[in-house]
Amino acid sequence: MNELRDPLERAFELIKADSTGLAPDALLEAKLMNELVRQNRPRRWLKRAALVGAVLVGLGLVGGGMALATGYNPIRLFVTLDANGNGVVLDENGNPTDVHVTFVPADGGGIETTVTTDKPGTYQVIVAPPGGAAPK
Amino acid sequence: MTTSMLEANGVKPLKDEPPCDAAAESRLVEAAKRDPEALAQLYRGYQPLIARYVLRRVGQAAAAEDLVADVFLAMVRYLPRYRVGATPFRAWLYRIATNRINRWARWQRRRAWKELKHDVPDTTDNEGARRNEAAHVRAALLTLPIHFQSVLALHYLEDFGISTIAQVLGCAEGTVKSRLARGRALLRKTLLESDGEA
Repeated sequence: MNELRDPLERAFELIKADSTGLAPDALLEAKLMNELVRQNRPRRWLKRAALVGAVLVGLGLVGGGMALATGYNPIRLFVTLDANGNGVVLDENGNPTDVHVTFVPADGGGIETTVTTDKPGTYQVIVAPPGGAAPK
Repeated sequence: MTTSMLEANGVKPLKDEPPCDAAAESRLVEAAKRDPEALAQLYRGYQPLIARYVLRRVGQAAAAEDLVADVFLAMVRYLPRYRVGATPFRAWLYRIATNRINRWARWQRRRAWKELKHDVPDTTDNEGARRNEAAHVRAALLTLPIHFQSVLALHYLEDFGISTIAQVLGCAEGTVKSRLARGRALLRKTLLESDGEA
């Protein structure tokens, strides 16, 4: 095996002796540094996608806010009526508040109506926005 | 990031040598993914090794300069994907260099065959004679299949052991040994035949 290797080792030593090397290239070094900076810069398409996403989220927030402001969401109140028909609105914990309820006929006339009952208990009251029927 | 900031992060500035401490090299490689100064330090450390390897394989300074530039540009491009601990950085960089050289070598095989068939010119100049002989051996190497060339070059020109060659080429050690044995036999036969024709 050594006999087979020796001629090859001598042959490759010739190549080693013939090749001294290359000096470092300052231009290449600068090019490499610039390439790294360019590579690490966020991609333009990523910026555009982020901008479009932000606009969509903003529109969604504005739309949602407008929907809430117009009062299209029904307001559900829990009202306790006593034997005299006086309505007292309860809060989410079931505690009475000092809010009084005005009942509007289903046709949207806007007339204040007092609903009386001789059945004391807790009733759910749905208040519809002006001009619209109460949602089902 | 200035040199003092590199030092503050545990990366010692080395003078044109690759870090011999694996931990220091890992820190430098990770820093080089973001910091141009660390990248420049990495380049300066490995340029002599890679340039020498490329020149030994290629034999022509102009072609070697182009290939070396190609290797380091590829290093910058693929560095974000390199994971410390998977493959030693030196082996990873030599893999890039070997692939680039192999691509060049595929285009050179026909010319290498022609060069082998030509007589080596006589010269009384010792330096010239050695250069001619080196070119002859290089041409013989270039006529071999690419996977034999890589293994022989890494073993004989870079003095890499079997396990390091396996890491560079991304193959099993058994494969390296097999290619080394077959490559030696084929190169020896090629050299003998070309010497016989000369």
